[in-house]
Amino acid sequence: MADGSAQYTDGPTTLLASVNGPIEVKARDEIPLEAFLEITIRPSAGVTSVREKHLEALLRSAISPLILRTMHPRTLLQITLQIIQHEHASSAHALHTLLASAIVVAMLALVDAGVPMKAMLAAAFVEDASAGAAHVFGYTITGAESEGGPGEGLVFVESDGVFDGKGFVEASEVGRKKCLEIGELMKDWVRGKAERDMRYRLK
Amino acid sequence: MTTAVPPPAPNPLSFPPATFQKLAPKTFLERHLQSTPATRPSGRSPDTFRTPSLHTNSLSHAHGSAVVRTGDTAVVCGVRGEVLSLTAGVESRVVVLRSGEDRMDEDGDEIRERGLVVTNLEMGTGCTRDYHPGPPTDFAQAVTARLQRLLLANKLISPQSLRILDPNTEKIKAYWVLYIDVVVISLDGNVLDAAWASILAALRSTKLPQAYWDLDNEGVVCYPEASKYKSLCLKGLAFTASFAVINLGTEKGGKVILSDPDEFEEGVCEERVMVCALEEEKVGWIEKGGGVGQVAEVMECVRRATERFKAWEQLFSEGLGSSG
Repeated sequence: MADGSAQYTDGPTTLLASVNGPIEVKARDEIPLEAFLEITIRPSAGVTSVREKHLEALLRSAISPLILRTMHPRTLLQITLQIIQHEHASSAHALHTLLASAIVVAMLALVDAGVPMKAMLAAAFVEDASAGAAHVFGYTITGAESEGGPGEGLVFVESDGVFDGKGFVEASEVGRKKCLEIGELMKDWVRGKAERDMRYRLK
Repeated sequence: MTTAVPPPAPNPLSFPPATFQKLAPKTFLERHLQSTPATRPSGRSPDTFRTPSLHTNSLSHAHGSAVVRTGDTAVVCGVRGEVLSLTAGVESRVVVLRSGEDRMDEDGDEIRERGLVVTNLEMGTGCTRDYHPGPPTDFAQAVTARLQRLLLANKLISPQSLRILDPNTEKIKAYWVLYIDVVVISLDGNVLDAAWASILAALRSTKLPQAYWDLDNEGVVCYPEASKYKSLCLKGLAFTASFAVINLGTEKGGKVILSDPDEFEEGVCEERVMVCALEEEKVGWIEKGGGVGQVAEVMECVRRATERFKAWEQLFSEGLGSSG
């Protein structure tokens, strides 16, 4: 039994995320004023390698700034992702598509677990085939400044290929629109889930 | 009677800067950046990088090597070539051939598919205050993965120079596999930039023996003469630049981007940006995370990375021009 979980399928990629926390932390990992964030990514086959560690580091940099870690000091927040399916359509961008889905599924699981957060994050994969560039953008979709949140902003970028400043700005605009679309879907899922959970109370 | 009066305490409400830094690292950095002109604890201004230095071919048993130092971050990189024979069974190596791999087109991604480049980053014993002996930390593994990705994505090494051919039929019989090992001697933040520059310099100084496929022995033979060693064929240059971002709050100056953060700054700032600049003011890689920002911020980092590219380029032309 996890405190929160989510499964997400985007084309050939299926990911399962589970969140446990706040739970007891090992003395070695304890942080006096913050919760310790443990992120584990399990591959669909084989054992965890350097590639998964790299993904974990990227996922951490995307979601950790949004979690209010000071709300549960001296505890552990455990996020585990299981890659169920990830087809390598083109091996060059396999990491990017996986990363975008990983951010979305981790976010949904965090919301499901009721972890306090500043804002929700959506991520989108943008490919500029003509320039041979691939980007993943993560934009906040909730938490407007008027509500005390960090405001709409770019949280995460992972781009590679060959591009210039102009191309990047254009891609980021496409990414922002895509993030907002995915964000609407995410909000709908959360609303639907909350409605189902609260059905007995509404009657 | 006289009583001994204790000497007055030397101003009990103040303490030296070093104590302040330990007690409240974030406030310490903020106070520094709020002074005019904004100065970092190290004495640099926010957009100043540390001056790099470069030495190549200092390891005698590697095919290529380089030492790069920026401030108190120092790394050594050694490149060694090993022969990977494609004929199954020879030298007890078995190669799994995937479908469609026997093409010989120029853009074929043999280096990625066959794993011809093996990168590893190791933290030297006692290189940093937080060093713990044991297996590679998550941090070291994540840096290794990024270096490997940078190397493959930029396609710097031409597969041509790693092929070993049968002199009669011009068929690929074997490959050179490059083992690239980076050892961090001293770590004071921003290990990626230094490690990447050392890899690039080491590859540029790498000279592999001339090898060919010997039909009679059914094996790869190398000419032993040092004069027949050949340099690798490398395409272009790419340099990474890392940044840490701190938010001072809207009324106190907003966001400050710190170029080339040292260990103290990395410990305080959560938000990071990494840009890999290519030739002709192009960008090959952007990585951002750890905080809510805007596109303009990333563009500022791109601008600084382009400046930094020129500094590295000059250092490389000076340092590698003399040694070959």
